[in-house]
Amino acid sequence: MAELGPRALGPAYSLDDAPFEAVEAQVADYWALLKPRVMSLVIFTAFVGLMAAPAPVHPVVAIASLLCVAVGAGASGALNMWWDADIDRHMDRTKDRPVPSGRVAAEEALGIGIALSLLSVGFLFLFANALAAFLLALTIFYYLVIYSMWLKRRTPLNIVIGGAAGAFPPLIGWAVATGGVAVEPLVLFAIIFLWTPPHSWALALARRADYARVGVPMLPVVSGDQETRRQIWLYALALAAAAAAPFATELAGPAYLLVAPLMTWRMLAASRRLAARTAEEAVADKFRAEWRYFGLSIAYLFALFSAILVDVWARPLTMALIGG
Amino acid sequence: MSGADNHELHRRRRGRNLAVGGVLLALVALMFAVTIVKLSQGPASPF
Repeated sequence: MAELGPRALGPAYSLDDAPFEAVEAQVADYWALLKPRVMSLVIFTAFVGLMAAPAPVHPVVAIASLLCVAVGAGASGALNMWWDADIDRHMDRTKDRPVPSGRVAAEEALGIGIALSLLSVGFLFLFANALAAFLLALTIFYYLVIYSMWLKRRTPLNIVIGGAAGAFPPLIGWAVATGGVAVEPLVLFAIIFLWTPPHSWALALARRADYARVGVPMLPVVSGDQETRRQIWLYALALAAAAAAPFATELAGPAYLLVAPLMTWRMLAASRRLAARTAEEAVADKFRAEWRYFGLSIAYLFALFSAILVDVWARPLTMALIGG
Repeated sequence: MSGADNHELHRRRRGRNLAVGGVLLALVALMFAVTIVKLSQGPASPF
């Protein structure tokens, strides 16, 4: 196994720390390399951005474009696994991933990541337009270079700034349909951008020892448990404000009016409870509330975007009912 | 390498080859479908 090169900012781990077991990879390993769970969120948010746009897209072009976005997200996952293989091997959460476990060689992950990046961006240019392709390329670059290579091992703001990578998909979806960018997809961008830190910090609270072991300066490692809980609460407040922004645009309709306040209230209440907990309480119940918060935050984002989707689809009916 | 290992190796490679073949076929079908749609919509600039 060849070295990946020096990590200027990371802990002094080498891929030679432990011998890899030579195993022939299965299809499932290559699938896992693409981080399918992250990919599903990317596809969904890009789909909402595409459907919310005022310009209709032929279903075949829409499916082909969303596939490109999915493959681009998968490429980012493979490149991230290539770069982070040295620390992933020492973290309980990630040690079973295809590269750190040795089922897929790091160089192979790199090759797959580059190939899929080029293919996804190139095909999106052909299927949709230059702006959508550029935004997809920017997303891959941002996730690999800005987040993984630059910020992740350097600053506790890693997830705050790096979180933008996960917020781009609605912009891509909108760009596929319109060839441009407008305030509506920027509102969707803001929601995901402000959602990412509290979502990730809940996980980091529960996995603090993992991050500390490999020297990744997540907020709980650098600033401690209590400060992280306070920041989760503050970001939840900012997220609540962002979640109200669709009401000022064409995005929100009756479904959003029904779902957003209710779910935002739940999210705020859970954030407040999390902020009021002590590290001792969390350890005593094995971070039960933190894991629940992590799950709730996913459900929250899904609920907001689903409500927008319902409103978009029901818009003709809504307009007919209110006589617009 | 024992016969059993060899069999397992071939089984895994066969699975991978079938998956790659399936992806390539799907890609060809997708390209074909998008081409038909684009042609039916008339010429358009991607810029």
